[in-house]
Amino acid sequence: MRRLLAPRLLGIHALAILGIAVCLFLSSWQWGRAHTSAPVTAANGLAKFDGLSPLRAYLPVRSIGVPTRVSGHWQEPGADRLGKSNRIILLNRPDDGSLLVASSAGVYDDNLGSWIVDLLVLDDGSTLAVVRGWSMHPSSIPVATGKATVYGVMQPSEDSGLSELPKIELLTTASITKHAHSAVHDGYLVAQLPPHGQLLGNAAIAGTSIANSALVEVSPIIKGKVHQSLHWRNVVYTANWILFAFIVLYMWIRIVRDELGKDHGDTDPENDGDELENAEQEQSKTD
Amino acid sequence: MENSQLQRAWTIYRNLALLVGVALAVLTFIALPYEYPLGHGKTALTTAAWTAHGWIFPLYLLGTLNLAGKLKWSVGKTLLIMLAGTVPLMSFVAERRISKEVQANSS
Repeated sequence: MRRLLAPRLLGIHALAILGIAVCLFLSSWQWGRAHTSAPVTAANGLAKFDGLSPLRAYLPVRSIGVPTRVSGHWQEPGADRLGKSNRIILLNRPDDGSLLVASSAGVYDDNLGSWIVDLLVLDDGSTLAVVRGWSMHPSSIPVATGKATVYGVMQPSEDSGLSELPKIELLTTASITKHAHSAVHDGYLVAQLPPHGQLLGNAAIAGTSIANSALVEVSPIIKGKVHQSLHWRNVVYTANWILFAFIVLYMWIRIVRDELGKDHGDTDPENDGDELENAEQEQSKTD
Repeated sequence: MENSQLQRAWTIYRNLALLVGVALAVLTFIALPYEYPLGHGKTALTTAAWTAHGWIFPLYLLGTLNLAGKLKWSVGKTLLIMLAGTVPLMSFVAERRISKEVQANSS
């Protein structure tokens, strides 16, 4: 046992433990590359609003299309930046997001209105763009004010795939940033009428976007959770790191055993018993 | 030393060294240039090749460990042979040397 604590072996012990730790850490890093570790906590179809963060990060894939509920207060009019208004109005859009995508093939030509986007300042001070609804007469819809709890579905920032459409302004995180007074979230929330039994409380309902009967609910482009399939290459690479950890462990054990094996030549009386045992084992193997 | 055990460990090692050598050579000299200098990026086929290598390499490590145990290699030598599997074409060189060692050992 004293041999195991020799200075040279102490270094090897430290290296081995470090090696195993590094391999296991890299294994978990590799796994996280393809699989976000935090699961979506959904109760009654409502995800907790913890899957988003201000623009330090992109909208996590796991949050796209997932019904969620957010609370805050609508951005106060006034200190508008860059002379932009407090609200974003997106012209020439159908009330169904999937129609909008399909229309890159020129499907729709009539019944175009506007998406009304107001900005909700969440309780943590960050800003989330909310597509409150669709209207033929956007100027008749007052900008939302006061506190609100909004139920809706998160959507990723629109991309240039839609830009082939004539007269369409995209709802991108960058465009939202121009209107917000604080750090914005990537993507936007499409407000939905809460499902039956989802009571938001009277005060919340009053501030909820859809409560305005002049607005038509916009149907989000992506509905339902985005399926993330198992990433096979990632799985093997993760397993490799665990295997590497085991190899380091194995080598460590070998070094220690070799070191202890040296004792047999010594005159140290402590090891006589070991030698006897070993001899017995050898004997039983050949039997 | 059971000679047949050594022979089996050697055969397993040899096949895995060949596999890992070919896989790494294909990845280094075909897949990588195809993906990057030629600008095709990741394709289904090259991704499958990387994944296949990801499976073969750990098997090669286990095969090497198995043979190392039979031949009572030092830890340093074992690690070197394992590392040879990560250098393109080096696993072929290592395999030749080890085959000579095994033949000397078993004759």
